[in-house]
Amino acid sequence: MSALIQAQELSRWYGIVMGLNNVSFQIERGLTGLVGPNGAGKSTLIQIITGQLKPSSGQLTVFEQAPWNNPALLRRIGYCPEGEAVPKELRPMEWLEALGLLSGLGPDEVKGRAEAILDKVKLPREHWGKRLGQYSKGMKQRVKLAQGLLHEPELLVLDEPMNGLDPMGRQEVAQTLKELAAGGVSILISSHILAEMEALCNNILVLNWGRILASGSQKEIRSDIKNWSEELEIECDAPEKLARHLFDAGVLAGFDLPPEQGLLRIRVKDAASFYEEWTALLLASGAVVHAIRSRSRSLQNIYDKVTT
Amino acid sequence: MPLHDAHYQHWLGSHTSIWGRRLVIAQNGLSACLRNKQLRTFILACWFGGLLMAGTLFFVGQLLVPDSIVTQWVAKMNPNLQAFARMLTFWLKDHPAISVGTTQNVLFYFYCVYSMPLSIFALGLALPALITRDLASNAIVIYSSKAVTRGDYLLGKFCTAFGLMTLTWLGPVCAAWFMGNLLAPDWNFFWYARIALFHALVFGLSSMVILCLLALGVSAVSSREKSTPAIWFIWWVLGLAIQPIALHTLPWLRHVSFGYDLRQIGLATFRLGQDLKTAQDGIPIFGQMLKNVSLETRAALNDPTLGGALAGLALMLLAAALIIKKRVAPE
Amino acid sequence: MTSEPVIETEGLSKVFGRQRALDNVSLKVAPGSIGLLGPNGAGKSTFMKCLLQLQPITFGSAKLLGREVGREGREIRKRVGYAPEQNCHIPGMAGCEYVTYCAQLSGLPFQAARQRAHEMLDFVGMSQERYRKVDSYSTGMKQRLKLAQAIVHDPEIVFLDEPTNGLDPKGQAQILELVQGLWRSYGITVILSSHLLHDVEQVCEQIIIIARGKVLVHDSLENLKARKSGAAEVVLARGHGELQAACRGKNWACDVLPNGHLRIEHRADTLNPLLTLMHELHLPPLEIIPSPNALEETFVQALEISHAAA
Repeated sequence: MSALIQAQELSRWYGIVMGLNNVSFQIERGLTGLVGPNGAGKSTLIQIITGQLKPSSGQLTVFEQAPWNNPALLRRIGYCPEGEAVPKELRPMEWLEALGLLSGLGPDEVKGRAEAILDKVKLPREHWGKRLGQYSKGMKQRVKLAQGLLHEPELLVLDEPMNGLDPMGRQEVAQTLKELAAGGVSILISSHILAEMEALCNNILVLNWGRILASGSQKEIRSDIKNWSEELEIECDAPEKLARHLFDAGVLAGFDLPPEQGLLRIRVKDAASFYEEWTALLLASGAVVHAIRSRSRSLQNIYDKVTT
Repeated sequence: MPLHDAHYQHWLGSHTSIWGRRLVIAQNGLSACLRNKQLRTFILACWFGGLLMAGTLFFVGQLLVPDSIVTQWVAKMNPNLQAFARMLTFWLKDHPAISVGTTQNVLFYFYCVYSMPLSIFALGLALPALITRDLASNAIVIYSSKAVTRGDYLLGKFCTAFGLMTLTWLGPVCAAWFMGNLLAPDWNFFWYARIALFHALVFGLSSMVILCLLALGVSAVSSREKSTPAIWFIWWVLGLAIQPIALHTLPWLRHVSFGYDLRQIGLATFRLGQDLKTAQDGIPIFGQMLKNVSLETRAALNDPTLGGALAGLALMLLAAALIIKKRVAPE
Repeated sequence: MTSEPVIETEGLSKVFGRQRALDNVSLKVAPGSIGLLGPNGAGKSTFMKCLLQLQPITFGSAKLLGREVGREGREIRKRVGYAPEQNCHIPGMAGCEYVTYCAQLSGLPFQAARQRAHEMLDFVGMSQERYRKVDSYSTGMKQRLKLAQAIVHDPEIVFLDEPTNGLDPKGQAQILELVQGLWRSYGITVILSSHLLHDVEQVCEQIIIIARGKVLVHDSLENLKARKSGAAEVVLARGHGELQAACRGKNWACDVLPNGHLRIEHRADTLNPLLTLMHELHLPPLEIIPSPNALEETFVQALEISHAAA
């Protein structure tokens, strides 16, 4: 199966200012996260994918077609932008109906579809009568998500979709996105909240200064980083005892006893062989273990290592 | 001690007084105003006007003195004027208080009232720096979270506007009075001219307070930097345009113009009607000249529509207060 | 350091027309780092605004740092800092001028204000940008500036509303580290209002959850986690099915979480029994996190109870 989005030596310049600089990558179907510092080129990339900008050079294809000037392709893509730009004087149903008609839906089905979508994004019915200008940040976010889903796209592009949502809202949106992905919709999310991206996305694309630094699944990226050392933090009752035991076993590349009580941080020489003996070592040391956390597995750590 | 602590330090000093903080707000506002190059030019123009006024006072003062350069120069111009000038000098000798006092009173009336437009224009330029920009950038929330109340904030901004008008109006007026009398032929001129200064200060200070409050109100109407000066200028110009029309149709409509209302206060303060009468009685030649002054003007001079003016201004100030109360809130 | 409560409210209520944004809130909050959580429109922001006097209180009383909020507003605000969520700055000023001005508004004399402004700009990690006009700042710099102006007058308590909003991951980490240091190293009480539970867990020791205008939870994070103990989130490289089967055999509830990890209720005080089981199955754990999502679960539970009660 060909990749969902393919870029080949793609560049986008704004005069001398760089947006994207000669990037080549492939995004597969499924849930993909787009991460990078501010000014990395994420917005530029999203705008090219959604057909709002034309590449300066190189090419980008979505479903094997270029999005620029391609309304037929854009009908298969849904976009939920960042920011709070919704028409303040309209009510949500009015806006969605108008957009639905623009997308080519018939006037009979558009109302039903709009209502279904608003229910799907869990916008409470009691607010449907209010104008969008009166909505809170979180409610505006839900309406934006609704307009992106209205025409049942095959690819949904989201820019900071959880911005302004409370924890319940974030969970609900994450759940909705997972259901969509399970139903065959591919999703590309750009976000700064790495903890959420880690839980949600299989694949990650890391951008910085208009260039691609990494692309692939979290596991693939991790295994590709040079000088990767497995770092663990163990919460236990007698960290020195455990440290000595592990040291004697010859598995440590280094360890640290931080000032907080009951913590031991270790760096491991060889991850593969270490994990084979790990439980045996722990139990044999007699340590009473309360937690084992990885300091190196997280997306935060991958991001830090890749962007330095 | 080789390593110095450059981390967060606690502060154990004593706090400034509330007036200190209000002054800081005023100072900050005034600096923001003075960053505007146009405004700085206006202020210079106002002081230039003051200089001209001082020159005029000097000239008139010299006219009242025999053998002064000015009198001689006037005499050379025209023999009739020579007679006139001689009459003036006799007038001064006989009625020094009235001649100097009346003359300066009339001159200061015209100077104060006719230099007002410069200050009104300057206030218009300064409006964004008062409340408008703070509304646009949500600075009101920051002010509300500091050790100042809404009242302190407004007082500070009021002082900004007042400070600006001191630079454009009060300062030049006082400087003109001082310089004009300093260059007078006689130290007694200071004493004779005290009434003129008194009237100028009463009129000036009350007008400044009113204009500053109105400016605060207008600056709070919108958060757009271009809108509030536009509203101010349009209101002012409309007020001017309405004068001739309203005079013959709905006379009370004239009070919509704050310029007109302040002029009424000026007339009431300076009491030009009385000066006119004094001049007429004191110098027959004036009587001839002034007989031509229309009855209407005479009536206006003697009986300014003060009641209407005060009512009009009170309504405007009330509106300004309501606008400020609604708009200047930390939301 | 005294342990006088920094915030004390008694029947605090705020009514907007027919809506009760705050309903009879009575709290005593000790100094520390406190996370303020709640759904949107729940009264969380109203609570902060009432304490800071950005909104007047309708009924009840509130004391901040031992003083009545309604009566001694100016005095209180000399020792309170606030970094609002929305963008606010005083236009036309350079960063260091702005922070100096804010310090002066809080009562510092000019010399001290200027000195502390630069010290705080150092503290938040701003270098040469401080001489540029605030209007030209990026989001990250604006957030740092907000933090600097909130602490420039050395407050005893600082209210931070979504301080990492709009920041990229590195920026978020830096700000969180700074905020963490405020209480842990310098004794400044922090009230952090955020929707990101992850941030709150990292920084805060106490948690307050407000929903429907009422305080649902007010406890230390440790206690909340202890209540959810006996469960662990297990991250495995392989063998999920085996582990699930083994857990079922031991009558331990085992669910698959949305992120693919396993949630096992082992009901023990330590992980050792679970480790023993995994050792027997030759399944090495990559991570075992106790009381996972304790805060999120508490939050959800509290909301459900509140919904049911309504």
